[in-house]
Amino acid sequence: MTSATTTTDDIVAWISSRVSEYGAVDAGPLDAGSVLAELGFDSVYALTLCGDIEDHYGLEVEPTIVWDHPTIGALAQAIRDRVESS
Amino acid sequence: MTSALAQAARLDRFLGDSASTGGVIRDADTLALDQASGFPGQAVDALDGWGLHRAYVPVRYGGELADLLTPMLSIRHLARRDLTVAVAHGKTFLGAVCAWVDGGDMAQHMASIVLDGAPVSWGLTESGRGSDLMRSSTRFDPERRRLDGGKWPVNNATRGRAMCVLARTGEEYGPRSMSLVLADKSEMGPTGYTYEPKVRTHGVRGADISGIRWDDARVPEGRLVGQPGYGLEIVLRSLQLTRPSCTALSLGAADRAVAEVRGFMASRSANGGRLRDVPVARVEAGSIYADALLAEATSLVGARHVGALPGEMALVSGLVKFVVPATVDDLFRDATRFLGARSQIVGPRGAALFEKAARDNRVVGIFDGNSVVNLHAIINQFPVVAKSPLAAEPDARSIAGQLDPGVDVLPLDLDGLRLVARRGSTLIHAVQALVEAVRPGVNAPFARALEVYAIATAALLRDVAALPRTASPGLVHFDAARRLAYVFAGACCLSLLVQSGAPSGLARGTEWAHAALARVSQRLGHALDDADAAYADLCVAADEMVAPGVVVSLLGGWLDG
Repeated sequence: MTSATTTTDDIVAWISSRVSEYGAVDAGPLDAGSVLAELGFDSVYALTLCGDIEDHYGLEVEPTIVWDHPTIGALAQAIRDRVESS
Repeated sequence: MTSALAQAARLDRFLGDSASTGGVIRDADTLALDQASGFPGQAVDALDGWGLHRAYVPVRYGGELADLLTPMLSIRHLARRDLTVAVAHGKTFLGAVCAWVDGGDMAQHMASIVLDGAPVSWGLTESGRGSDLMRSSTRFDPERRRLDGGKWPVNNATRGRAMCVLARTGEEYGPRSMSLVLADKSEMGPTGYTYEPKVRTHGVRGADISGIRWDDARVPEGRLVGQPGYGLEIVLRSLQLTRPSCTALSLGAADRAVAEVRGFMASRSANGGRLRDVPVARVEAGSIYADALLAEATSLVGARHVGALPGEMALVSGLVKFVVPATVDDLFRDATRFLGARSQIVGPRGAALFEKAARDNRVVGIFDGNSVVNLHAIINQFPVVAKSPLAAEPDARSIAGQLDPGVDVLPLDLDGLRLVARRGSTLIHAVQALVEAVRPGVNAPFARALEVYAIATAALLRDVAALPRTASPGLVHFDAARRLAYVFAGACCLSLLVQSGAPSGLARGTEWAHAALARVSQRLGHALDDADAAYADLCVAADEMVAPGVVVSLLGGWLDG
């Protein structure tokens, strides 16, 4: 689970590890600027990632969070904002 | 009686006897139009005159849609007579539904079109682009308000006045580049669009399944359905209503098949006696009735989720849309074998109508997402299905009461629809509790069937939890999704059995649920040794409780109004 000291960088690293686990993507080249759709990250992964976000950060999010925040960095920031306000 | 049942009964009385020349939908016309691939315009006009389109518009916008069962039960009455008519008229409900789901400025405008009696269609798919809606190439330029591209194949593309079109409004490949636009021919002028010819189909031959193309077509201001970029999201929510609605078509087809099987049982002689006195014939017929009632229970309880558990519709809509058409396809396969040559010939009136209904039902499986798409949607939600339920000890009676199709629901509230069922299915999580609630008082064979079903469900849920998450599911995933859909169907039957107040007839007894659960267990790979006795019992119960010519249904007496 997360804590108040979780940084956006931590979340970027966590998302990157999830993305590499879901598919054949190598986590090596992933960074905050990586566009999820370009990694073959389709709606199936979006659903799975939402479940993982709920489990890991205790946040209830719709899969559209990935649509509205298409890069790993933007998604990490969105999660961070929600963690802070929850 | 609920308002949905009362309204459907009124329509049924209006439609009359399809075998007589006084019916609104006449068997002779149905067969002639099907052979000629002709559109059933006369019947559709009569339905407009009666006002069926009012059932497609929510009460808050001036219509009569308070309950998803209102259009569904009505469409089943049409489909029982002629599935092509049901498809031709019911399409307007699908075409308009995005406006209700969004609930924004366009809803009142859409309501005025539908209440005017104008056909509305839904333009999602395009030629050569398969089931991936994000690959749509139809473009709408929000600045110039011009529409370019085309949609195919679309039910009522040619006949419809307006189409709710999924179009690209952004450059990037992604869901936020898609929007919904209302393309109303009456606002476009005659030069903005052309048609693609009608598609020759195996079933529903007379339906207007065709295409349309727009070339720099003008669209007036304010014709986006929902916010720009929210098209796909609205479509995914709307499919959660239209997928269960489509199952009403399958129920109507099943009604036709069951009527033919019952007529055959009553009239046919075998070895000096009547066919219905031959034990093996009772088993065969009973298993066919069991599938019809399994499909009906799943459709009714599935539809009730819209009001009671809307947040689960992302999962439930896929479960019911897979299981109902597939079960009815199985029913037709078994009935075809049972009826023998009679099922294939088009001479006797009933035989030809059976043959048509069998073809028509095969098409239902592809409407609004084919079986693979639905199984995929189920697989995508395996992680939430495998999660522990919100309530540690589900209350079977309370859940069954919420999902009771025999009581009126609150007016439709579509804000609760979500893109993913966060906690899976309450009903699937409650299987053990439902089994415990049903068990007291049932006979020993049914108690054993309940036990087998509970064990098979628990084993499947363990399998689902253990399956690796993947974007490229394999056979093992698809098989688990198929079995999960049948577990859900079984739970729908138990839910109906637990709740009290069943209207009359078959639903008051347990024969139907025992036989339906035997069909479920067979599909879960746990066939019951004594299933044949359950099927024969159901056959006898149906003969005793359902008069000749009356639909074999858990909503006993609904035809009588």
